[in-house]
Amino acid sequence: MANGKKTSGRRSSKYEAPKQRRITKQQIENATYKDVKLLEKFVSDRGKIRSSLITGISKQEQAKVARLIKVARELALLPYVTTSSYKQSYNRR
Amino acid sequence: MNKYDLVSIVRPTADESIVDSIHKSISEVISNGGGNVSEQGVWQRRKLAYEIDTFKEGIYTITTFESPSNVPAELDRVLKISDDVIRHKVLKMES
Repeated sequence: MANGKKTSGRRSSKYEAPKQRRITKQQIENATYKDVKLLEKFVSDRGKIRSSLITGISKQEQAKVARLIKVARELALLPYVTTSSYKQSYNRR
Repeated sequence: MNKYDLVSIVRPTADESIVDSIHKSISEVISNGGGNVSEQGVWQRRKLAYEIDTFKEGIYTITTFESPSNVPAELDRVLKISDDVIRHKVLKMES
């Protein structure tokens, strides 16, 4: 792929992942369950965890983010999958 | 000795004295188990992403401590009994 970012050939031919990498490696390395703003970026409107195809982060980072999201869910910092749009309903309350 | 983070969500209707007494009982359990508390305090009061026991808000308090591995289980037991703490979680941190 262009600009040396890792995406396998199979992926790029089937699905062109949006280059969403604005979050630095450092940010993910230092992230904890408390960084709700950061974790929200890896979650869909419904609260589902975004796949690494979309987030564009490495497998190790994706695993870490997923783990943190699951911890944050248990602490009611992030929703489990919701029927309504999470961000809207969250602001309304 | 391991490093742990204890997050507990106190019911929003509780006042400061209740939060203080919870803090006290938590640090008591830790020190009785041979650990020491390095940081303790209210993180923030925030809306919950989903309702817990019909509460839509909660007071988040975080306790950072170091202790032998049997303390988290005892903390778990004590906090489960408490009615003021609606949710808690002990997390092992990388040291």
